[in-house]
Amino acid sequence: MKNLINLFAVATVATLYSCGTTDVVLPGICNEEEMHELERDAGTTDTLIFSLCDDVELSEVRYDLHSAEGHSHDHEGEEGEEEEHILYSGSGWAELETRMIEGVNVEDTLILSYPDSVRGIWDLVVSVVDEAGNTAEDEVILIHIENDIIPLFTLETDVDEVHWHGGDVHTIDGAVMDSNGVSSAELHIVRESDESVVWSYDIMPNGADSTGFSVDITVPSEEGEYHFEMEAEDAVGNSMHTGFHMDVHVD
Amino acid sequence: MGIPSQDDLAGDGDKFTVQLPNQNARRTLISSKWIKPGTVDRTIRLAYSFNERIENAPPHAHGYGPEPESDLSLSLFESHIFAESKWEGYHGAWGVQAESLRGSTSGWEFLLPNHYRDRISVIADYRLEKSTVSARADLINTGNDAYTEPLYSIENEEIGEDVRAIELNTVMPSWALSYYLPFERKEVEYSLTATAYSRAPSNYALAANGIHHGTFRFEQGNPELKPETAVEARFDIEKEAENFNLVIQSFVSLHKGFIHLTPTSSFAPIAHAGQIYSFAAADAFRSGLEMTMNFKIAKGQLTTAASLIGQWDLETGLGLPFTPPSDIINTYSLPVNERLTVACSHRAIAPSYITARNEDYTEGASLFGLEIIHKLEAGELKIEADNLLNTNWLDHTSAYRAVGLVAQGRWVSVAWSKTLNN
Repeated sequence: MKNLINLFAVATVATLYSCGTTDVVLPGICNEEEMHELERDAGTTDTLIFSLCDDVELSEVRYDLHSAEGHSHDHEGEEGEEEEHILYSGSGWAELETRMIEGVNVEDTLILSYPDSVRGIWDLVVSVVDEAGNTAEDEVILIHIENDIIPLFTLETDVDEVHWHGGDVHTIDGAVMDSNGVSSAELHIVRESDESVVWSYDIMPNGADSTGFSVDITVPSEEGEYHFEMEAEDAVGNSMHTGFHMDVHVD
Repeated sequence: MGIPSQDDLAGDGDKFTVQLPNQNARRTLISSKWIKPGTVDRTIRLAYSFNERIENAPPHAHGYGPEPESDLSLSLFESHIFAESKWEGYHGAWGVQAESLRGSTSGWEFLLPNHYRDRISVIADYRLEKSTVSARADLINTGNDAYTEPLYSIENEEIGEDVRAIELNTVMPSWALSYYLPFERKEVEYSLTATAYSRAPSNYALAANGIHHGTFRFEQGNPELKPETAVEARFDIEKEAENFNLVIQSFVSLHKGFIHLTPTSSFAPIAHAGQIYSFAAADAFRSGLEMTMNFKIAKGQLTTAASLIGQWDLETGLGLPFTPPSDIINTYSLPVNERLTVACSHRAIAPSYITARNEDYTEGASLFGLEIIHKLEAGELKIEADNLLNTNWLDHTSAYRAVGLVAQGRWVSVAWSKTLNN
């Protein structure tokens, strides 16, 4: 028995000693200048150059661009920082591209064309994996997209997290503006369960560059998820669509 | 990916009537056993079971394309039939086993389409003078249907077919040989078990493909997998004394082609789905030890239970995924009177020194617990509190660890049990 135990002990030590080794160094983005936040204009084209590096062999890079509306990545914003509510437009615009890459140092170019219809913050998530399967933490670049092409809504009312009680009355104060003049502007409340419009209001800007509004709305009495939608079109036909989420509860 | 937003978690007003997401699960088992005693005992077992799981969730599309029209995210129905006929005599036993599994899936987030698995086996064991030799031989027929979905572009236009699974039908053998030797030295009981076996890959390991919402990963099966083979030795020790007992169970095993999930060098084809984790076979070494000791101290009893596990991929030298860190639980149980017992416990969990590729290091944890057992005429009442100090800790073996979610905080359970004697 003692011999048997000794045999197992020797076999264990021999097995562990014969263990292979592998690449465990994480690949990453090695740009000299870090790109955490970018400010860009809608209707323009951007060329971003990424320097990708690994100690043994790179395999793939993935660029995942999507609107930051409704979610956040872990390291966005400083802790305790008061974030301004953003009225997004064109949130459906997204890009996803995975590219195979070879070598230990690769300069990869990403060209982004910002559509005329987008406004807000977009997350560009850059992920790199090496041949061994190592991945570093994703690099998240915030792209603030300003837009002078489509009309702009601004709100004075805090609509960051709207949890309203059914039947209550709330006032929405704001303005709609465009340098070409705003030809039409409307507000709607849409019930998300069946996409039906339960309330509407016509701001009637009459072509003015800027029109303020102060509207009393009665919160729908039926509990559920709603969307407050704001639509406008300028004098040359550029239209926009934005809004915020409403959570309606009834005791 | 796969993590609900705060809004999703907020519920819809009543915490006991959350509409979505929800899960319904059913399991039914019918089993029978027929024995005909004789010089050679004849035993026949028959069993039928089915599992049904239905999960509903707010519809969402994986990647691009229209949202599903239904809330049904997963429907899984598996039926299973098992039959065994065994002859058992003084010197040993032999028998045949057969089982058949049929699984059907639907919904918009399953990873494995309709699948099946049939097995026939011959089993035998033979008792030698001081030891027992056992053997088993299996033939396994396994496979799954093909499954495709429309493939959409980033503009949500249908551009082709997304092949989620190809049709698979494969037959593979599996076997096991085992030698068991119990013996005693100086009032200590020992046992040694030496086993060589093979293990056929599961349907999931062969054909899964998609986002696993429980592990937050894109998991992909590998239809090229063959059965893994292993040699294993188990060594157990048991010592009983008046105020003390000790049980140690240990094992070492060497695997050729150990089937496990490992990160690949490719990203998933779906937005936000991260890297592809694929089933792979690699040579591996695993070893572990569990120990339980009981001491009588004053009126009470101190129980110490410890576990130590190490497992490595021999080709890379890295740990295998989800290797549990060592832990030790000390419990002092004190009977206050004949009816009331109070037990205090402490669990110390070591840091995760053995980690797989892309697996994060996890700090150790220290958790306290309390248990009160009150024996009543009407039954036994047991109140148990775990993580008494509500410590924030990460469970290295939990899938939630990968996304940095802490494990269960303080929780209390109240249980009542009554033994019915006729």
